[in-house]
Amino acid sequence: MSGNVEKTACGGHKTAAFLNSPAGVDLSQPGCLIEGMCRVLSFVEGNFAVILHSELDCANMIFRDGRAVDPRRFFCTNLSERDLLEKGGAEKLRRALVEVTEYLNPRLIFVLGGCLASLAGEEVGAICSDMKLKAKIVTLSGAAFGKVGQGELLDTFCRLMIEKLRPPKKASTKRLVLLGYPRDDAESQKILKRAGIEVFALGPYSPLYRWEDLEKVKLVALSDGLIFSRTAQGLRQAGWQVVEIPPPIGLRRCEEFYRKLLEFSDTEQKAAEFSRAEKSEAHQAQEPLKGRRLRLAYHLGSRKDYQLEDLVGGGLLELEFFEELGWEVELFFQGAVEEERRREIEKFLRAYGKLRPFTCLPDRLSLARVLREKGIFWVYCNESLREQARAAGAGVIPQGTIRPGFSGVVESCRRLEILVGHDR
Amino acid sequence: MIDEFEIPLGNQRGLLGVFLAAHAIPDAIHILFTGVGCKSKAQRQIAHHDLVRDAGNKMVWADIGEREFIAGPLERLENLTLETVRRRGKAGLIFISGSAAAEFPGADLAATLRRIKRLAGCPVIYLPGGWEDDHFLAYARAMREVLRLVNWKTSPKKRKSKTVNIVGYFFDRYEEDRQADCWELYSLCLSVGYNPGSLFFCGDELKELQRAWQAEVNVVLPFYPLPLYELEAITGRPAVKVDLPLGPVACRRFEEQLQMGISGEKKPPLKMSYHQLETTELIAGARRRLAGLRALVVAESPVAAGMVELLSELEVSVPLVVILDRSLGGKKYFLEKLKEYGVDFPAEAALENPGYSCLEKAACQLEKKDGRLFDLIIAPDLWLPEEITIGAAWLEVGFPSHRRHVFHKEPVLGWGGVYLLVQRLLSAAERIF
Repeated sequence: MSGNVEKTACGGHKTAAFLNSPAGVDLSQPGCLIEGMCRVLSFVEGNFAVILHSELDCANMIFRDGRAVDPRRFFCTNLSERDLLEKGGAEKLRRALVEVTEYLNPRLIFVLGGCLASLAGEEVGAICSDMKLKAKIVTLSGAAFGKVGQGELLDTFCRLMIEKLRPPKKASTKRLVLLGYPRDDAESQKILKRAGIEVFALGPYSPLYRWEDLEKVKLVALSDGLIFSRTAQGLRQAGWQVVEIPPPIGLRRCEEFYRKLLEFSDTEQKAAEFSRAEKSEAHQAQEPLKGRRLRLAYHLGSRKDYQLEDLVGGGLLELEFFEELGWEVELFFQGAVEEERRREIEKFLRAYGKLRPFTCLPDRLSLARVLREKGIFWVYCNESLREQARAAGAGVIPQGTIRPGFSGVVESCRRLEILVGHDR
Repeated sequence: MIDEFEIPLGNQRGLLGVFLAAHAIPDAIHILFTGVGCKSKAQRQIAHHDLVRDAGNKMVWADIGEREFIAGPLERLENLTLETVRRRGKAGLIFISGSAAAEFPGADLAATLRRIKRLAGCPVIYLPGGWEDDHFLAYARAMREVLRLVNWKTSPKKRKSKTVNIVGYFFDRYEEDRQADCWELYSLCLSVGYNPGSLFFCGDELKELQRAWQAEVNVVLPFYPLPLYELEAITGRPAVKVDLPLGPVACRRFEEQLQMGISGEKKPPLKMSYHQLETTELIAGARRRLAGLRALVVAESPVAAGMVELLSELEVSVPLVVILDRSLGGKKYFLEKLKEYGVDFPAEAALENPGYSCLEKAACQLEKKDGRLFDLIIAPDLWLPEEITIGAAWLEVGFPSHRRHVFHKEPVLGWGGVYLLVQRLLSAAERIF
């Protein structure tokens, strides 16, 4: 980070703001601000520190096992009942900011306010506003019991990262950033390099210093303008050229992805020239599965890991992959079955151009019953639903099986062949 | 000072303890009267820890957001709990947890809980989130409330050999290491002539646990740190405190403590068992390879004490121990036990629930003093600085265990645990896994 982020406040109220965004709804399981930010920041490299202004229990949102980058960057004001009833937590937070700055010398400090601080009326933004520190401070405050959508949180984070960054006045059109795309094992970089285009991948889990790469490019391709609506708006306002291109999942999307990227970067050559071999291999890989005519339940609503793969495209990206194979796919949504929710789902499907009949499941335990009733024997779902699918005698195609890119089509088809290799 | 704001290495709190208790009883459900993040806070801890039984079905968040909280959350809590029970068809037991934030405004839950209990048709246990409790204490408190659900007024049948319940096993997953530990505990009871009764907890449903009245004595492991007199008052049966049977000496001691505690006198030692004979030889053989190695032990106090005793038998030196709890006795318990076991251990080499800066400082001093750090790390899957882990083989033991999963009987406790632990230590020393 180049010190581009300053005091910013957002939080629980943003849920309401999101509901007014073009997508209309965020169907992912909501979380709290601390949960989401800890999830992201636990896996991000960079010279930053995080202070939770909360009770110590909230610190269990931080990943502190072997998967995390470095949990030493996280701190907590450890608010106690006494703090709140007697003297408030402001003084503690100010002290924490000074201590953390001295101890780690970070360039950036995220201060995350928890439910308890909000309930006690502590405004973290106001508390930090008069602090004079070497490090920049970003304050984020989740109003008490505020729910934050997963996509909303990732978008908010990306928006924070681009604040104060500016596009270069002059930049090559042969250099662009792919923002918010699932990882494709650098296939896009390889293919586009053949066309003379240099690509940087960026996303909420990128090291903080990588965001500075944005200042070297003029063109940004965005995976989902609905999820990343704030980020897209920020980029456009600052002067970047932004184009929305859905991630390359499935053969048709792959072709569209490269075609649009080449158009965007003013390359006159055709995309097919650069990806002929990959396309042909992917096409061949699909063939054996095309004759299977499977019925598949496509389950949404049990995703809570703030993963781009699950959120971009509303979690519907793989739907097209299965449809390309000629499979009959039925959408299952987990969550309340009330009419209001159904209307939200319709709005959501319309926003993604996928409006069709769907089934609502009140909770995960209903999956087995509904699969039995509908006579569906395959379900595309989160691994954690395997038990319920098994109870209905159905096979599971776990989320994550379908990978992006041409090589992803090949790999995914191979996996599917193994999974659905024998009829049920 | 920075340590005021650091997060201690053992930072699991009460909410997780209740959740683990609910996870350990298959027909229990856990309703959260909390903010939205709390569900993930507890559930995520075991999502990758237990690959056998999914924890996602266990916990239901009462969906109390800002709007519901202002409008009055108790009705919401009641409706959602009852709706959950209705959808599932049945629930053996309902745990309801609060969080510090949810409890802060002081909503009066008593009447709501009574109604839920009446309408759900099963016991309801409310456990507050608590400001200070760690997960061990909350787990033990949940256990105590389940013990209250047993009809202790019924007298056990007189049998030739006594039946004993075991209270205080920390059953946190359904993988075969924990299941095997349960069998080891039963087996140790049988080896000294007692019938194993109910085990709190071991993955049994509430109905099974409620058969605990059939036992005449409750044997209490260190993971139940609540007062024994209280347990005796609840159960109307004597409670016998035992140490964790981790290592061959500890297994023997467990048997003796059982005999002494139940019969009131020390019986002459039983004939050396096949296991004892074999593990004595095994230890002697392993010592040839392991003696002189250095280990860092990171564990809760009873496990740390047992592990250090076992390592001292193997002549592995332990220059630093990180104790992950306070509620089970912490450093005080650890040092007292080692003194009791006759193992010399300097008090300054044990850190009680430190933050990372304190751990790094201790490691740095150790390296300066001895010129090297550790060959072995015996710890759960807890992030440790590279300067400490570099060059060391890691034996994942305890909670959480995200990397090591066990699908075949591999205990840590009992005689079986001795074989397995020594074998794992040898493999780690040779880097052959």
